[in-house]
Amino acid sequence: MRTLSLIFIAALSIVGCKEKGNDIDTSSDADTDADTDADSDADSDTDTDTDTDTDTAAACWVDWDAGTCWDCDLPTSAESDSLKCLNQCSDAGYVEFDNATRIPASTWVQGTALPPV
Amino acid sequence: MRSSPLIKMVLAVCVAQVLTPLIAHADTPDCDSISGGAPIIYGAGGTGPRDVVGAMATVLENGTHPVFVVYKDDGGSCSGAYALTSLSSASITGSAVYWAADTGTKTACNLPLDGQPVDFAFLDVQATNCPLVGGDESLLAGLVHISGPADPVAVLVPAGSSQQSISSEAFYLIYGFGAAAGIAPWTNADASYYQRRNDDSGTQAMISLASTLPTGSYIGTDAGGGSALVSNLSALADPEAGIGFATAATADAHRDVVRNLAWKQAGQDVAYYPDSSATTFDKANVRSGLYNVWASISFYAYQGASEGSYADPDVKVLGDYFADAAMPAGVTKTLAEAVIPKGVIPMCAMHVTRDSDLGPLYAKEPAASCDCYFDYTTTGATTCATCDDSNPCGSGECRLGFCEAN
Repeated sequence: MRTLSLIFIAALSIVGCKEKGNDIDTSSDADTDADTDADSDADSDTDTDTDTDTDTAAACWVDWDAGTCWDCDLPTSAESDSLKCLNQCSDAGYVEFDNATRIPASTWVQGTALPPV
Repeated sequence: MRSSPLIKMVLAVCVAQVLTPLIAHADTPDCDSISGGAPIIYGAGGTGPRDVVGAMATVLENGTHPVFVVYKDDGGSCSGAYALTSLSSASITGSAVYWAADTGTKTACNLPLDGQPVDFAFLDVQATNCPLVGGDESLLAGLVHISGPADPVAVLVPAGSSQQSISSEAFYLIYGFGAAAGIAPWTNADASYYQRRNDDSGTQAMISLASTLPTGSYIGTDAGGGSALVSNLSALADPEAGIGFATAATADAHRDVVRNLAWKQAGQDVAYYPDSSATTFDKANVRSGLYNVWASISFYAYQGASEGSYADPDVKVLGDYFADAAMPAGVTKTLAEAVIPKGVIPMCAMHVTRDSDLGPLYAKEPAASCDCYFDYTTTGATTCATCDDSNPCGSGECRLGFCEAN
């Protein structure tokens, strides 16, 4: 009983989406750059970053305990969805609800359309 | 000739049936007699906004040009919209409520037998979400519409339940299929374990938008109102199996018998309470955008000759106060001061907004924040400095006694 209580309290007190990536996103640090320098001598390596990727959105979604959270500025006008706000990185407490374990597969499987009523 | 005991009993029941309403009618004041001659405006709409209407009514009644407010809430949010758009009778009958000017106490009154025309409506959602309006904006032509404070809806369980959270998908399946969905512990075959509202309820319309379950497809028992739903839920023999939903303001007033569940919207990783925890009242996760099930309370009234004007100047006093656009004459109590104690969130304390009910959220900081005042009122504490005329803020703006950032 004591163990169950401790697990319950821990679940309630988990600190929310504390980001694990960089605080400041840049266009170059989220991608793996190919090394264009043929020289294997590290001391004389003058290679420069050749990454030209300007899409920063992927790097704004950073890993955290329960998935990914949005670690960049929130949209300031209505966009197509609310997921950046709903999954923003924050220290807010949260509670788990795992659809896969709570909803029988015979009723619905996550990733598929909900059955019509 | 002597009557049989059975006939006497039937006659007695019939007499009681006829007289009881008349006696009740005699004990209750007529709505048109409550104001001492001051103007009275009549509204209809949801139980969710009712306490907010009452808070504003008490303010208006104490101005130098008093306006009294009578409100009928037993037909659901959409009843008000229907009355203003000729989708139902434009008049209300039976019983309504008003609020005493000195105490703010909600009191019943009797409407005229031949009906009282409706002047305004308050809904938990926009009227376009009402079944008979069906998204047809043209039906609302000729009405003034104002969006006001944010009003969250919460899924509730009895206080004796161990449940803490629910997903929007699970909500859809539970209220769409009942016990057949097999989602423990909500598997009781008795309809009373699934407390709901009805098609004309703004509360049900709001959570339908969040869950995608059509408003007409709910299993369960129609409680008829938020307070009755809380009462029904708390009386269930097996609290673990019970579930319902109401405005967070309704639930907050009954935390001794029901609890809010944290809500996980489709596409969201985890579930969040409307507040920062199950035991607080700060609405922190609504204000920041982590909790999805909220909409702005909507006000509708007849438009005047030009767009945005009012047909009735007394209704304009209420509309302007609700819009936080103008104070009634002789009034110093702001909209924030009036409505925050009623469990809703004025836009001055919100950091996100949306353009349509349950539409996309986006960040928006208020032009004149009341964050500090909101926190202090709902939690009894704030990290903000206090201020007044003799104690100005080092930075920011002094508003409602606290140094707000902007």
